[in-house]
Amino acid sequence: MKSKALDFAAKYSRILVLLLLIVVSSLLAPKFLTVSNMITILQQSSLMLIMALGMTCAMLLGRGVDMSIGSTLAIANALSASYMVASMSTGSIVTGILISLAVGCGIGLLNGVLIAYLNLPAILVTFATREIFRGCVYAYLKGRVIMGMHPVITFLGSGRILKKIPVTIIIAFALALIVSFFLRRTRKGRELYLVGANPAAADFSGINAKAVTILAFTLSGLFASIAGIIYLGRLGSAESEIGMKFAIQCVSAVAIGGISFNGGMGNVSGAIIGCIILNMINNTLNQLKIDPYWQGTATGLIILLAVILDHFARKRLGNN
Amino acid sequence: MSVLKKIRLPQTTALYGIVFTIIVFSIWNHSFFAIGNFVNVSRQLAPLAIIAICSFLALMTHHTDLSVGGFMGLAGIVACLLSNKGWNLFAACAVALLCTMFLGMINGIIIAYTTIAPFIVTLAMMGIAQSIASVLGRESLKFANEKFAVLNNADVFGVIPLPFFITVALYLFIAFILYKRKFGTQLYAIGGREESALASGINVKRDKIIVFTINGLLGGFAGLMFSSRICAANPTFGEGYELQGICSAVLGGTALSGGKGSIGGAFLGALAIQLIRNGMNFVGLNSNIQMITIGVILVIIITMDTFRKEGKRNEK
Repeated sequence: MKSKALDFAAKYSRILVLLLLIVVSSLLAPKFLTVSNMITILQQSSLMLIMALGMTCAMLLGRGVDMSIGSTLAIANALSASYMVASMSTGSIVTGILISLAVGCGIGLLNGVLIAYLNLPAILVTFATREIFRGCVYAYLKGRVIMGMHPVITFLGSGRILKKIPVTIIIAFALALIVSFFLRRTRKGRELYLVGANPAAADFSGINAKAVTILAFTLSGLFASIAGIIYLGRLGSAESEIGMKFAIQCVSAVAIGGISFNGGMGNVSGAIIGCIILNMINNTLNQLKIDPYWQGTATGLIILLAVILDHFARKRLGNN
Repeated sequence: MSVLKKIRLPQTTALYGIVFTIIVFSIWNHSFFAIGNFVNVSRQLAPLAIIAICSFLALMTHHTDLSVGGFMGLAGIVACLLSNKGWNLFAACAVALLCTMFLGMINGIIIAYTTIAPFIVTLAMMGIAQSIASVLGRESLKFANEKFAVLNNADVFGVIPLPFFITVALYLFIAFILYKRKFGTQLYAIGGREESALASGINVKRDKIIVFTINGLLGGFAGLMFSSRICAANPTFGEGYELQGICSAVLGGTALSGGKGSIGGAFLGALAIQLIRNGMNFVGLNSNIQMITIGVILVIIITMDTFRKEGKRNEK
């Protein structure tokens, strides 16, 4: 009986962590358990989730993480924003969005090719491309801030449907469904898992590991740029400093969500829960008026805790 | 001395890099090729070179230590706070180093005793270290005691910059441990094949803890050297150094998969990168261009490392 309870706890460890967090937070902060606060948390989680969807695809490969999404986001924003602001017509929005997506795909493609064909470790490659493109952003914007977004973009980032539900949540939810379908039901998605779980077996099954790698990192870049468009709508401007902390936070959220760094394990629902947990922590800490500088420590500790719990949960499930 | 011989065996990529860099920048601006400038470089080299040791040690155990950058900032802040309160400089620095050493030990314990990806452990620890540093000292702190700058400005025998002297002494010491002591052999064994090392009775867990504790100590020390240059401390000092440390080690022939490489190579790699940085500043390159250049160079470095390894594999 006791072991059954522990097994249940292990299997749903992340959801339990989430519930525990909600309980503790609502006890500590009176304004926590309100609808508007919950919506705020979900809205902020949505932005991170979009990036996490791409990051999950990259991490499933087991080659490493994509640390360049912050810079990708920044430069995609800078380029598309400057185009859209230059020609304020409705048609330019579509082109602007396409520019952003193209930049995201391009950088992701570059990462993927370097990682796949030159067999370079993803962490180092993406660190390097992060520096390169951050430098590009600085050079391109030269300290300018591009302001004055088209109402459609603002709607995407900050608008609400039915006066309550932020558009961002709906977009993130839709994307999550698509990616979940892709990972679970399509051939390429299953190939992603296999390459991560057992590269040798994947090779013997005739899967083109290189193509899958390139695809995964291109997706990572693509989703970074999609998140960028939302962020553009939220912030209302494009600057050269945005996105610096995004990669680390996204990796942390994804790690909390149970996606393994060695690849082959993890799914979209984990990413969703991870993002919500991370943002919930930030939200609670803000509500408790905890010194923002301490938040880094608290977040780091909770990340460690969540990952340790996940480790023991896995161990327990593995024993059965 | 056989120890010295071993130090001279590192891969030549770093040497090519150094020579190439010196030639390029000397042509660009003749003043680059001056004793005064090189002495400067040797002074600035210290933090990066020390971090390169950390990266080397971590890579030997098949891990990357991302937290050393955070330790750099933390050590500076702690030392500054204590010495501004009137503490003796040595004592302040010692306490700072104890702090980073402690955090490094925690890294090691978590990494050794659980199978949690070291990446996330050291990443979280980096955030924690930086955050603690931020709490203790909001932004930039100035060292009231100007004697702290002596660490950077003094010259041994009136000629050799103290930072350089300390760095080389540190490297010799580590090389001694690596090549003449059981611990070093054990490290190479773990780097070669962890399961075999475990099977031959090496206490892998304990060795890993030791490595990460050393990293904590050295990371803090690098931070102190960095801070002494401008006699100030800031939580963000050291951001990005972990990456440069890894690249230094890789440039010097340490395999990213661990097990191969020499400490001398790491030194040369750090020297190469520092020369590039110094050169870019010297010719007045825009800092954005610098960023892009370093990124491109990093990619090239890693690519060359991969190709060289594949070439070696094909030779066999």
